Amino acid sequence: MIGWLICLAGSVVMVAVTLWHLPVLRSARQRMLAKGIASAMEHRSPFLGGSTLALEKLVTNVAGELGLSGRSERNARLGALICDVGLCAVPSELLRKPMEWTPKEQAVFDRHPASGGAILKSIPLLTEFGGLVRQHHTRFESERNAPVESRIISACSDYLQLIRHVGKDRAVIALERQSGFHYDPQVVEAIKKVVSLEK
Amino acid sequence: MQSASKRVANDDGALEWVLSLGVCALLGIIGSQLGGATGALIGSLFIALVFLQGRLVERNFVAQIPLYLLAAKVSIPLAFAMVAGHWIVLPLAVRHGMRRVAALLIGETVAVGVGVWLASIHPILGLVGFVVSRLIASMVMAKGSGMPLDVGTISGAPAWAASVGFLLTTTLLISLGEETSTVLAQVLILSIVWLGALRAYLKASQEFSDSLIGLGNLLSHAHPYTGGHSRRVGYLARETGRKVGIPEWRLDEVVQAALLHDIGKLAVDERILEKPTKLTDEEFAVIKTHPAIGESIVNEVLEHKPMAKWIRHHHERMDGRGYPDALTMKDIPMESRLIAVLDAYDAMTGTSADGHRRLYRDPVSSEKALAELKRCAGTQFDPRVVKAFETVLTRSKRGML
Repeated sequence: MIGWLICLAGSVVMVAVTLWHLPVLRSARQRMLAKGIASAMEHRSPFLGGSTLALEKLVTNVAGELGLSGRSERNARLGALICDVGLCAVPSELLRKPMEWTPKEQAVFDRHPASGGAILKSIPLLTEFGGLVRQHHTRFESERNAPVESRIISACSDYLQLIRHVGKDRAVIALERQSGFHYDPQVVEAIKKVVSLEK
Repeated sequence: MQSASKRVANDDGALEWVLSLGVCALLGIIGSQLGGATGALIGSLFIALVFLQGRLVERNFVAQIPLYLLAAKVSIPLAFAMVAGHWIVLPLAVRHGMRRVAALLIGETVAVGVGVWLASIHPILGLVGFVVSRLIASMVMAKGSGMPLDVGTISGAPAWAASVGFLLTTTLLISLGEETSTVLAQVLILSIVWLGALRAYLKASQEFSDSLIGLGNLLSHAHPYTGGHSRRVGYLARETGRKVGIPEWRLDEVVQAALLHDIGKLAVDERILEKPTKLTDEEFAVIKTHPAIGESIVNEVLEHKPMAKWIRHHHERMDGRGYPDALTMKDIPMESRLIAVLDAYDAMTGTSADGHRRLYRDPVSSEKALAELKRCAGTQFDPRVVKAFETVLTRSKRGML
C-alpha cells in the first residue's frame, strides 16, 4: 500500500516540478540569449553607447505605467534587449559614422528591424519575438495594430537617442510633436509621466 | 568504437585513475575491516580523493563501487541512500567547480554520519537524512563560493536521473515486503513518468543549443562570406573534447564555447575581415581585439563561467606567439587549444551550414587542412588535440556519426 502511495506521490511530484520548472528554465535561457545579443550589438554599434540597459529600464517603467500584464511586460523587456539584432546585417562602417547619413545609407539602416525579424528565425528560443522586433520602428499612424511592446520600444529607444543628441527637454518636445503620427500617444504620455517621476 | 582498455591507455589521466582506484580499494578494505559507522566514514574519505582528480569525475561511479559495497556491509538502506545521494549531489557539485572539493569532503562525511545514525533508528529515515544533509551541504558549498545555484543544473536531466534513482530506491525499499510483481509495476509507472519528464527536458536543451548555434551565427549576417556553424561543429567539439580528456560534465560548455568563440568579431569592421590582401599592422591590431570582446560578451551572458576565458585564449599559440596574452602551452586552457584547432580547420575548409564560403581564400580539401594542422602542431597547435581531432574527423567521415 505504501509502495503505491509513494509511486503516486513520486509521479505527481515529477509532473508538477516539470510543468513548473520548464517555463522558468525557458525564460531564463531566453534572457541569457537576449543579454548576449544586447552585449554583442553594443560592441558592434558605438552609437548605442551602452544604452540598452537604460532602454530596458525605461521600457519596464513605461510598461508598468501603462498597466501591461506581467507577460506583456516581460516580452517588452526582452524585446528591448534584442530589438537591434538586425544591426548585424548593417555594415559596421555605417554604424561607426555619426548620424548624418545619406538617404541611401538611411534606407540600409531602416531595414534593420526586418532583418532582425529574419535573423531571429535562426534562434528558436527567440523566434516568437520576431514580430515584435520587426515592428519596433514602425510608424504608429501606418500600423496601429503593431504589438504594444513594439510601440513602447519604438518611442523609448528614439527618446533615449534624442536625449543623447539634443538633451532631455527637447527630446520630450520632439516626442510630443510626433505623438499620434510616429508614436502611440498613450505611450508618449506614459514616457512623460515616467520621466517627470525621475526628476 | 575503441575498446575501453585502449581508451584508458591513450589517456594521460590513466595513471591517476589507476592510482586513485588503488587508494579507494585500500580505504574500502580498511573500512570494511573496521565495520560500522567508523568504516563508513573512512570509506567516504576516498570519494573526496576521487573528486580531487577533476578529470576523473566522469568515471566516478565506477570508482565508488567499493564504497557502495562497504556501505552495504554496514546497512543495505545506507548503501541505497548513498547511490541515490551521489546521483543527486554529484552533478551539482562537479558543475560548480573544484573549489568546492574541500566543502564536499566535509559535506560527504557529515552526510554519511547522519545517514548511519538515522538508519539505526529506521532505514527510511537514514535514506532521507542522508540525501537531505548532502543537499544542504551542496547548498552551503554553492553559497560559500559565491556562485548562484543554477536552476538548470538542479532540475536538468542529470538531476532527473537522480530523482528517479531516489524514487525507485524508496519504492523498492518500502515495497520489500510486497509481491515482486507489485514492485515491478510501481517501478514501471515511475519510470514512464520520469522518461516523459526527461524527454521534455532534452527537447528544451536541444532548442537551447540550436539557439546558441543561431547566436554564434550572428556573424554570418554581418559578413555573409563567413560560413555558419552547424550541429557538426558541435559534434566535432564534443567528440574531440572527450578524446583529449575533458570531463563529460564540461563538454556541454565546450560545445557552447566552440559555437560562440568568434562572436567578438561582430565588433570588427567587416571590411577588415573580408580584406583579400595582406592586413596592415593597424588592421591586424583591430582583429586582435576580437577574443577579448568575445570574452566580455560571454561574461555578460554567463557570469562566473570559465567559458569566457576559453574564448579569450582561442588565438593563443603553443610557442607563445599568439594573442591577446601571448601565453605558452601550459597556461592555455585545454578548451582554448581545442577551439583553436576547430577554428583553423573550419577556416581552411570553409565548411558551413549553408554553403557560403570565405571570400578571400579558396577552401582546401579536408585532407590538406588536416596536413596543415599537423604541420603546425607543436608550434601553433597542441599536438595532442590535433591527433584527437584527426581521429574524430576520420571516424565521422566514415559515417559513424
